[in-house]
Amino acid sequence: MRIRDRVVALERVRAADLVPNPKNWRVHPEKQKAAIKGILAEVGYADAVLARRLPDGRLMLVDGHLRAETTPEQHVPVLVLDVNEAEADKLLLSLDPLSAMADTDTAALKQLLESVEAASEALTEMFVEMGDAAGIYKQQKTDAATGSREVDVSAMEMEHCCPECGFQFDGK
Amino acid sequence: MNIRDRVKELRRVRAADLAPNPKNWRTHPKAQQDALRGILAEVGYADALLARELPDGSLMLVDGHLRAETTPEQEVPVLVLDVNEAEADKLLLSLDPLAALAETNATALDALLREVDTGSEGLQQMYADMAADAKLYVEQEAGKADIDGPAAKDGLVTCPRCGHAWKNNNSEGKDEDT
Repeated sequence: MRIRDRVVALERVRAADLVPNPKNWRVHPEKQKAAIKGILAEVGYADAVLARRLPDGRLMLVDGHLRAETTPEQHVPVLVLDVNEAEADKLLLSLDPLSAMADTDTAALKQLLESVEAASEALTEMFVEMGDAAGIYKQQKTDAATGSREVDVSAMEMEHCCPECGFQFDGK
Repeated sequence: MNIRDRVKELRRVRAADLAPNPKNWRTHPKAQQDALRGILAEVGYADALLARELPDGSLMLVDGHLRAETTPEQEVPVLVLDVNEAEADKLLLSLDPLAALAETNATALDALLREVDTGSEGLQQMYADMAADAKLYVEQEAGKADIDGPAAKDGLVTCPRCGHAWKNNNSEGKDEDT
């Protein structure tokens, strides 16, 4: 398979100067905004947003809208792509769902959850929910985060739970 | 909020020379492998993998394991991060779940799905699943008798892991063994 490399350059651009993509279909609930602030505060910008150059020279976002909104005055790392509008649309449509198709190695997740400490309440809550969704008991982190068990796992609940093996899944 | 910039540089590296992260907790089912091949064939590398430099100068992946495995001989774009192991662990744990916290604007998704064409079966399947998850095209699909396959027609649900089949007899999604 011959794969083209569409990354032109790594640039730093003031986030507010990046043009939001009018076709963006992802919306960002408070919980996600708080968790992004957590990871940015604790680690920082450790990935680039993606953008393509418009004919007038401005950069339009393909990925990274929430990060750009969160830190408008910050100069953020941007990967400039040489893709046309149709290709940008395909990326906009595909990037998040593609990563969401991965499954979980529960033992590896458990190890990481036990070793990683988040200072941010939102990140801690996200970790707790990840543990719950994977069936990992995380009482200590729950206590540390909220003092009580107050976790909304409804977003991660699957439609079916196999009565035979306990596997959770959506659809038929 | 003063945010640190942890991206050191953009580098091209032969994918097989990137060390997989032994703590990686994500596994990649065939449907994902097919969809990724689709986007790589149709658009190409349009994002960088993430890696941190180890003391011996080698690069260890933080994100992009499936891409690296898919094209081992290819020189791929990599963002080299100046993070320590604990920070890399936190990123490894957080990046996918953070993106997954986003919700869907169904109108915007519908418009994009109508506009985007793909020749890849893997991507077509992924787009169909996205439409179904967002409850798009419900009218058209309700008319098709076999849309959910023979098992669903009989009111049976089959576990994709162990193959056990049972009766799905209410709309609340609560499953009851047969």
